[in-house]
Amino acid sequence: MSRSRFAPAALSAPALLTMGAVLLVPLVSVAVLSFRGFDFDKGILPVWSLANYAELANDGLFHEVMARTFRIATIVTVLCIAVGVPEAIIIHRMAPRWRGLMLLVVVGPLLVSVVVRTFGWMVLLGTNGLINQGLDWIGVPGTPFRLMYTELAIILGLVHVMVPLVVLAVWASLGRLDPALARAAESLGAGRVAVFRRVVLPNIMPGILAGALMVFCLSASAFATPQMLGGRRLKVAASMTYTEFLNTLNWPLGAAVAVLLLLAILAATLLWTGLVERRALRRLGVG
Amino acid sequence: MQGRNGPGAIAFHLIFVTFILAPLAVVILVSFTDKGYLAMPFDGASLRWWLAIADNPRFLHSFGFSLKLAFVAATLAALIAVPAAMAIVRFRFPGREGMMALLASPLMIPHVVLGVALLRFFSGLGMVGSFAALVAAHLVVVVPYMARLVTAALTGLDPRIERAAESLGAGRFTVFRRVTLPLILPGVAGGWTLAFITSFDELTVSLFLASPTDTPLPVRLFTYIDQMTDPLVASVSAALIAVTAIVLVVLDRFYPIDRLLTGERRA
Amino acid sequence: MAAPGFPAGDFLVLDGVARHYGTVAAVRDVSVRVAQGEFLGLLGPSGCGKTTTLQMIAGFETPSAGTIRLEGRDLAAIPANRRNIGLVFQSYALFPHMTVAENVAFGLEMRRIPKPERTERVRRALDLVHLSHLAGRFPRQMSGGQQQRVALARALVIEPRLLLLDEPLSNLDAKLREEMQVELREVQKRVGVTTILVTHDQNEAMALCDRVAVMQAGSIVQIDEPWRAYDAPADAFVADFLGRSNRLPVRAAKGMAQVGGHAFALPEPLAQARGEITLAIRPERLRIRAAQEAGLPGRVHSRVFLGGFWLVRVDTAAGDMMVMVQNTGTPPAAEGEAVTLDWDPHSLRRMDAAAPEPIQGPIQAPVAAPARGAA
Repeated sequence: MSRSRFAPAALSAPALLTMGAVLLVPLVSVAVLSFRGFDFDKGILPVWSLANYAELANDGLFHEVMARTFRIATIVTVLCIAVGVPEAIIIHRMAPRWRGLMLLVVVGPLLVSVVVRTFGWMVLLGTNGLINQGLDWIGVPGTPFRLMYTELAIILGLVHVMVPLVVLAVWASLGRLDPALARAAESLGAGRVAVFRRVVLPNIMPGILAGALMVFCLSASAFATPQMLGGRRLKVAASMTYTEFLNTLNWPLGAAVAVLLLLAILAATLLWTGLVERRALRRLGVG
Repeated sequence: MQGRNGPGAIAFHLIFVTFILAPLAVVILVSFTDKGYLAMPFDGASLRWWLAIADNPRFLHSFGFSLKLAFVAATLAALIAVPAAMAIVRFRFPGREGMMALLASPLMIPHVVLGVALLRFFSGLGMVGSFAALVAAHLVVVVPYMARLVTAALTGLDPRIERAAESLGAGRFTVFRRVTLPLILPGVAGGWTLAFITSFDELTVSLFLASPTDTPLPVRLFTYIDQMTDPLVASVSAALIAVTAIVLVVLDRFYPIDRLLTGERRA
Repeated sequence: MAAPGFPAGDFLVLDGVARHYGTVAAVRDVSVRVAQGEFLGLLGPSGCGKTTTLQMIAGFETPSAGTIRLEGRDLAAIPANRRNIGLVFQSYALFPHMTVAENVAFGLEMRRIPKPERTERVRRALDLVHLSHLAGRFPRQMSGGQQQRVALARALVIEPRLLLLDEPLSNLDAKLREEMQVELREVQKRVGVTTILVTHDQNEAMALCDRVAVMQAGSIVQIDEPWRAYDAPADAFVADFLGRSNRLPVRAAKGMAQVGGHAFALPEPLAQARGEITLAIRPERLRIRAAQEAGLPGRVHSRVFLGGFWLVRVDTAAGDMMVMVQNTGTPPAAEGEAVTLDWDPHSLRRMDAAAPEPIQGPIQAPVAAPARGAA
């Protein structure tokens, strides 16, 4: 199969052409759009300027939105790691007949539409929602609390949407771990804590870090959950872009927000893989 | 890993599972209320809102439209990702790394950014609201999943098996059709299913491109919730949860979910 | 070094050890006494319970019945990480995130050995396996043989009371395996550590071990020095597992046996046998004679040259016989040639289930460990 020099080109062509036409060209065109001007009467102006970026640089609302976006993404990532890593380990330790079922229960919701999952949180968090009713029933004073349209609601919803990804990533790296490693450490005198800290943890670290990066990027770019649980007031970068495009119709400004969001996420990815993951991989002797 | 789970671990697990299932459970419960607003069905249950789905042709139309869209997008993704994965796994060529990155990149690009980029692109072509535009957008979104599973399946396939077929006189296409494809079929089928589900659930990109008449179900649901929240949303959502659960249980028998979602062999 | 109060041959004692999983018995009943400094092989096909037995000694499996004593102390209450038993895994189980030196130092760290002593002992352990120059490498940068030696150094550096080897050489290619056998034997002798090797490879067990315990279906069938077990197998299973063996179905009466028109005297232990019995003989104990000489007549079916030997297959009235003929420079009888087979009656062993008594004495005769340097 490996004789023709043109075979790889021929095989790759359909994917390359599609991805080039429907991914790269639009991304470039939106980047170009972000340098255009805008007028409410005339629409997009065919000029070159940094006006949109200058406007955003001086826009307090935009700063607030970006800060909120990355604050939420950071908190969600930390929570997902704190909760998802132990959960993956617990499921991994279960007897085989429970394991498959529990993994299905925990990871299965990934396949349910985000809109549906977030709607569940709207029901739970509403003023007459189940959580407020429960708090009222056990006699907590001050109910009902305002839970909807808060950062707390966005964070809860996002953790719910994202945490299965961490469980999955850690689960996969636990599966790659040779069970004999823990026994080897034990035979050399290591107790349970030492086995975990010195042998298991360093080997599943790449899975944890990859899961963390994925959760951070997806949380920073999440749209549906912040929009539904945060309402019109608590905007994040994604919902701000959406509003500029579909409500305000200031496409060039929306494009600039989109470009900045994309660049911020790219920068975070590069920083993370460059600084953190490479160190973890080097510990594994592959970097 | 050594050791069994202690009572603390079991308690943690139960809380975790409750957290995961609670939002889905309340949606199902609310769908059985007999009230005109979001309420638990404990003081009055009915199938009123489930029957209301049938009276609401727009949801049914969106459901069918989403199925059609997901089917076309997943199938096209298979058609372009399988050859691309063959090139990546079986050949070393300049630009191979870039090709892999390109196929995986939509995972890292915020869907809002993809949405605005495609809105700009297709509005220039006068295609916003068209089925073709939605298919193209979904294709980009689902190609990474498809590519990941097919690449994993091909990597697990011993290339000597293909050489053996060739040495027995099979031409390249015959080798692919009779040997390679049957062996990677579980990966292709898994990738197709994951692509189908991803496309079926996709909201953000579709929001920018969908027409008001031919609207995918997540968009329909999202815009409906934006206007009002009555138990109809709950019954539609509950129906979606039920369908997904059934698909999931059936799917898990043929293709374990952890392999489906990570592209790795089961632990 | 042997603690007082128990005989030298009782360094490690397994008494009636069993392991059940539900209704399935992985290990039925294993009793064995191991002398200090001895190298014992647990040999058997996969699924015979040898690895489970090893894991019970190491402390990773709990016996359903029976006791395991090391230096007179019951191990039941001692967790795996307090047993001070060195273990080499089939997969080596090297920590992939640690260098060779870090791997070897791990057990010492767990024992809170101060850094200078640790460094010194790691250096000596790596010297022992000739790997000092690779101390800074990561496991995946090393060959299989090198990884194997790291695993050995890591198990030995903690100065274990007992060394357990679980199929340690099965992932190496044939030539390397032979080299490592020699090295393993030398290191074990030099260190003097009591060692138990689990393997399915009878050549490996025979090459390395002072005694082999052949296991079948969860029980030990025979424990003996390798040459004895080979020469006087307790039953047909052992006979076949330890090497090739030809079967001779004969009619016995009055101290004589008949097969395919050939009659011969039965040796003393078998002289009382009557009726249809099965005898066994190793291929190297058969001799090929010219057709006209006395013996079991047959025809050469095929012959295979193995370097030091020829393996000749002869069709006879008693069935196919494999004969191993030493290579003396001239090929033995050609294919199709008529020959007769001849043997020393003392090479015959009775193999059928009705054997009146085992060919050798009590199976678990305590065998003193061969004399060694100070352990």
